[in-house]
Amino acid sequence: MRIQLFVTLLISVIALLLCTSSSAAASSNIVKTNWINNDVTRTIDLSTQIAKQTIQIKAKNQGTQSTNIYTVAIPTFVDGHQQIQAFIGDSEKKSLNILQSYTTKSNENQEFNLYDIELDKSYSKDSTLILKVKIISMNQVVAYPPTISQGQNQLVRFTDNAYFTSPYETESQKSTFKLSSSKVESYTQSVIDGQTATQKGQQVVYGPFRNVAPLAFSSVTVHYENNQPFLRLTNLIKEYEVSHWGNIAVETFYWILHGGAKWTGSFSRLDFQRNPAGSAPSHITEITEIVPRESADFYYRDEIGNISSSQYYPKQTETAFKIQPRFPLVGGWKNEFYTGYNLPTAPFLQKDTDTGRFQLTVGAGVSIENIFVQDHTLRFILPEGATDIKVVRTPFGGASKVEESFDIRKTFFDTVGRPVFEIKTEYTSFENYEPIVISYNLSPLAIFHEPLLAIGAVFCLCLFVIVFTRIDLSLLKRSSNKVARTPEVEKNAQQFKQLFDGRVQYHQDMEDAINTFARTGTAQEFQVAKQTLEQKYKESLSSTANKIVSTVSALDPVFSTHLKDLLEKSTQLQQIQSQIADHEAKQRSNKDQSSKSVSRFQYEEIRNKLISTYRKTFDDIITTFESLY
Amino acid sequence: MALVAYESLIDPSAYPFFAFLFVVIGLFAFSTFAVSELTSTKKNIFKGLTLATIASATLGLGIFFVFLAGGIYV
Repeated sequence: MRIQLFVTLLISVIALLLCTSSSAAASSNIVKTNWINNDVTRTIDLSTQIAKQTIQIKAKNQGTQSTNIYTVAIPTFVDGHQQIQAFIGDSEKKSLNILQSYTTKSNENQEFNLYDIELDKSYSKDSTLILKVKIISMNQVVAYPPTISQGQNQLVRFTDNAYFTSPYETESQKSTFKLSSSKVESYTQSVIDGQTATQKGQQVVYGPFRNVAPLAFSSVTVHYENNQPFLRLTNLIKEYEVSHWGNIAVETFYWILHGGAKWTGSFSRLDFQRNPAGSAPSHITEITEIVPRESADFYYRDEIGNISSSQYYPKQTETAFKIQPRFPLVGGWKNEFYTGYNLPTAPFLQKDTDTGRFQLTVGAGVSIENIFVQDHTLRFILPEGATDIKVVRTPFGGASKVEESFDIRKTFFDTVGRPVFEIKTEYTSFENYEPIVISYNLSPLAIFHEPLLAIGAVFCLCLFVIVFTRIDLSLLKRSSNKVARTPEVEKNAQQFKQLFDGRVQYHQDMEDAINTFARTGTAQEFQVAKQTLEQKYKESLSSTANKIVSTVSALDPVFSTHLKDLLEKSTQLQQIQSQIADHEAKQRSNKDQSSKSVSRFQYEEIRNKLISTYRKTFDDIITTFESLY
Repeated sequence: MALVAYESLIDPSAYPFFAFLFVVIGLFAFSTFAVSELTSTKKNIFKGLTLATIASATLGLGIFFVFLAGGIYV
């Protein structure tokens, strides 16, 4: 073993000398010697669908130079997708940067992915580093057998390296596999490094191992019962719509899948209802999402419409949002729905007083315990006019693939559309849902855009009314009779107008007199009133007007016909008025004699007919008269 | 870099009140404008424009606050 190590070292030194200008990927082909792991405690929590490795490392810089890089490795043969987080000491406050990842091969031709961790400071020669590395592995716990039927328990398999995979030599290390139950079907029991694994209740322990070579590798598998619901999101879209009028609307679209052992055979609802835990031990009936304390106006819907089975419980620092899907989920079943709520701007949106930039700090995922997401999309719909959108901090570590894109979306009160900033990544777990921070520029006047748009719209309507009431849209030309008249004709025309005004006035007064007669007056009183009016408008009613018309007819025959027409109509009107008065008088006399010769109905009918003829003729006169002058 | 929490110009809990206020005033102003424009025989363009400005400012704000109060944050 020592010789082998020596040879490896020798080869690596030669390789370094040979290719000094080679890339990182090529030079990483070498086992690293600048650190030595004094003691490593590795715990893998396998109680859920996510394999959570917590590795406590005590390492010493045994190189010749100080360094701020520590490298961890993950064998490529293991299934699933890994997320790495690293912390100094035992606190989990500030996660360290994961710089890059690259693939390398060990002597046994085993491939590894290496991840460089940027430490908090430079560690000098012989100094000790206490590091905590968390590896969250998704899809590594696999249901075996892959299908189960009603009433069966879900068994799963987990395969990994028995050693903590490190490019450095390790003096002492131990791996503990924490299972969800003590019902273990099997675990690899071959002798590794002179040690056999031991099972104590829910734990399977490999090690302790002494003086483990760099990139040492020994595959082990545990097969055990795990009835946890394997709730995962094949697709997740989370949208934040920011309004500077004091609201952040959050909408989340879920495509959930129970990723456990696939259900085979029929599903008996009766059996399930009678004993849910025994009938389908890993079923999902309820999902609890933790949302910010300030959340309000929850909704839970799907393609069909609103789903009423949701509740929310405000707690001290957060709100528990419980959603119950339309049907229980067992292995392999899917469901999709969306939820939403509103957040106030105050704690989440901040303004930088120096630069005037806005900074939005919100959750990057869905806080559902033990869930992971395959395709993760985050969208930020910012107010119209927002520019220079940047990510300040992201929880998706340096090793993950993150795509950013921009789009435009038009909703209420928009003109050019709101900028949409989209972040796409894959394989994220609830473990690394730290807040995401984005920042953007927005003019302080931009918030007045929407009210001004509303005001402008109403103003346009008002302008339309103003214009519409001022233009003439009638098909008939109103002033068609109004043609130029010679001065002589005009003189006569004015005389005629004066006389005819009197006639119009006479008709109106007569109408009043008839009305008075119809209501209260007597026949005698009416006669008196009629004579008074005839006396008053004597001039107008005389034949003077006729004389003017005959004078005009010699000068302007066309105009004179109009005037003649007016006079004829006026005479007609006089006749109709006297008819109405006669009719009224007749009715009176009938009433006095208590005769039934004319019924009330007939009287009304005739009267209405006369009045409507009168109205029509009168309006006709006025229209003609106005069109002439 | 000093970050301060961003609060909107008007407290969102006051939006329903403003919606009611501006819609009532706005409808009154708009009907005044409409009546004067549609019925008066002597039309004065300045009077019409003044009434239109008042009506559009109040009714426009009314519509805007109705949206906000109704949960459509624009």
